Amino acid sequence: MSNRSRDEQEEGELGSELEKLLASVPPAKAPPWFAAKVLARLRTEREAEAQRKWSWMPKWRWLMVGAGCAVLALGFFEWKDTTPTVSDRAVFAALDALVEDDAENRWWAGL
Amino acid sequence: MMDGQEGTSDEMLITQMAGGDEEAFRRLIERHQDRVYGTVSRMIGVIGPDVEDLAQQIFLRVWKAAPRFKPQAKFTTWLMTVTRNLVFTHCSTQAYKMRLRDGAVNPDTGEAFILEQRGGIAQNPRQELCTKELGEAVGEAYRALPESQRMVLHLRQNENLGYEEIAIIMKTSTSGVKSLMFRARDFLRKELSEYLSAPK
Repeated sequence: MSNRSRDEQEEGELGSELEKLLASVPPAKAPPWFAAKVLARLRTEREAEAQRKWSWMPKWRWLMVGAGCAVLALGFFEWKDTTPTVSDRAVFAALDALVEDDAENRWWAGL
Repeated sequence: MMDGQEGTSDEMLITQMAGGDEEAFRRLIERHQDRVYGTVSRMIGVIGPDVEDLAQQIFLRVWKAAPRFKPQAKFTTWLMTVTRNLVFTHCSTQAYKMRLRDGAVNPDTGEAFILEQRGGIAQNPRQELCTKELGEAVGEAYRALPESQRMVLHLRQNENLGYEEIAIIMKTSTSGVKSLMFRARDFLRKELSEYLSAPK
């Protein structure tokens, strides 16, 4: 046995006879339609995934719309405005009184 | 690997795939389908829907993982690692073990198909019988090997990969791979002794 083949044996190489024997039964080859089938499966899986996404979405959409309506209804019926308001007439009357008061003060001061 | 006709490396195709290019995916499949299909059939021990399904799953996983592929890794190493992971998972499933035990995984069917595929040249019946018998014996010896030894042997013998590359795929050391090869060789020598000439 040569050094090279002894090295190969030690390393676990098969040896030419066994190698030839194993080579007589090569591994199978993919059928010609294989690539087309993989691509078809990819598209099918993608479509199924997209469908799952759409069937899941409306549930959430309806839920959000419902929640929005509930908030609006609550606001419409239950809202009590506690902010004090002053009418325009009261504002103008107060201003007139101020002007009148100022004119009177000026008269007393002899201005 | 570079495609001689189209001048596109595997890494470039993977980059295109990450952007959703199906044409790049098709080219990648066509380039590596025999490698993956052959490995799966060798590991499972049959040819048929199981092998095709598993090989398809491997490529679909490659498609999904394309955006995460790091170009510093060699593509074939990555592909064979994905193949190894899926095949080993499949082999560990209860269903596969049961079929193997019940004999539903028919060794004759698989190997006979291989021989039919290979045999383009018309043979006489006697020759055909010898070839078939030899094919069955080799196939049975392969199937009797533990999974890791079978995988290492296939990667070395049929895919011509180096020990370092096999070690990455098998997630072990180079010496571990050599040890597996050594044990596989010893086992095959014993199993196929009647087809080999006596050691000098």
